[in-house]
Amino acid sequence: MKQHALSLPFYRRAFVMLTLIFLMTACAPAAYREPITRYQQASTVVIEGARTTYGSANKGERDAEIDHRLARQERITLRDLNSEDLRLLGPDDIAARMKALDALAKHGELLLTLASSDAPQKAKDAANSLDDAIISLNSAIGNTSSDGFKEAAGGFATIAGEVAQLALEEKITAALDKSIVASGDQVKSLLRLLRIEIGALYERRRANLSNDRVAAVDEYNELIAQPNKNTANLVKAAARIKAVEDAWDNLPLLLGAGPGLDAMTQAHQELLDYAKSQKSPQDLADLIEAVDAFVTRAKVIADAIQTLRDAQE
Amino acid sequence: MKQSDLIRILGDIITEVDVLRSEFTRGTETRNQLDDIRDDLDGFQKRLVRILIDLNTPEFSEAANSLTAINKELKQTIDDVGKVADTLNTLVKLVGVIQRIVELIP
Repeated sequence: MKQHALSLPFYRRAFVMLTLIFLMTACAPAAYREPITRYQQASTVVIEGARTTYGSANKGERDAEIDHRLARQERITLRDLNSEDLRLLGPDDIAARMKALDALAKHGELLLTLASSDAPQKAKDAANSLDDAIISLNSAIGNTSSDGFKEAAGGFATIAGEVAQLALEEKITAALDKSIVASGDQVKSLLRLLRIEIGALYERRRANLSNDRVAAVDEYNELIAQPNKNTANLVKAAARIKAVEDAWDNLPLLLGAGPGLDAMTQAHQELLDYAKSQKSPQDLADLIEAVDAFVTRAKVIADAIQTLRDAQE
Repeated sequence: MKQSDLIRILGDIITEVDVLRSEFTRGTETRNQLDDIRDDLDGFQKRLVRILIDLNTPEFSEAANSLTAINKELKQTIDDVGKVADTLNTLVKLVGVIQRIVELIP
């Protein structure tokens, strides 16, 4: 009886250990699969958040200029609105960031395919797709004005191009290793640069929204100072204050893409550490923990994007 | 201090100035002064965002230290509408320091 009671957990433990050993050794990329799948899914959300931030950066500045002139009752001309001074990023700069984000997403997709598929055709399709994205990024880098961006995106493009080539040659394990290990520094440096830029764009959004708060309060206070108060106009002005304050309260949500890129960088580092490690159960547990933290952050970003979209509708 | 820190500190000051200027009616002298300072700070921040680079020169470090000191001084008065004259003086000094920093950008 006693022997039976001891033997059941023993067999269970032995089965678990054998399964782990099988997963760690017999199917080399198998242990990567789930964390990489989740990493890639979370990356898609973070990249989408970054894309939204870049896409709306100049619109925020243009709207702020219009509001500024309205507050001062100054003329608005199309020449003013066409002015390059209004833009935080030129069209070529925005295009280059979009291409870089696209290439990062395609790099993640290839990583996912290499880790989770034994079908060479799928890996080839993903590699072709990354290759196209890299060609497009390389051409966009030439038109951008920032040396820092050229350096970070150019370094990533070179290594990602080599990864795509290995995958096209069906060298799956080599492509997977290169994708994770050799491109690690380039991915991190590109993510770091994007993180700094997105933080700066967030600050511009905060400054513009802060100005909107003043304008909304001014409008209301000037109406109540008039001798003949118009109730309908007062209600409208109060409604504007409420709307601006709602946007101000939602502002921290816009920070999402920035810390999301931090979490993505950290999760990517864990992928690197795992790839270089002895691949023990503890190494895998560390990787899963970092990817879980990244997925949690991505969920917050997805919710933030949805909240902002709902607010705009 | 990195340029991204400078952009964030400027953002904090801009929002504090906005809270203060909303206390004064548009067109009054104090409000006009605060509006002008706000425009300057906003323009500096926009310029810094456009050219995101790391500045590690001694001149930048010295100007950044001056900014930190003046920002501390500003925090002592900016929330008190009764001390707006002191706040305006500090803000004028602050704009001067930020102007020096912006001029360091190539």
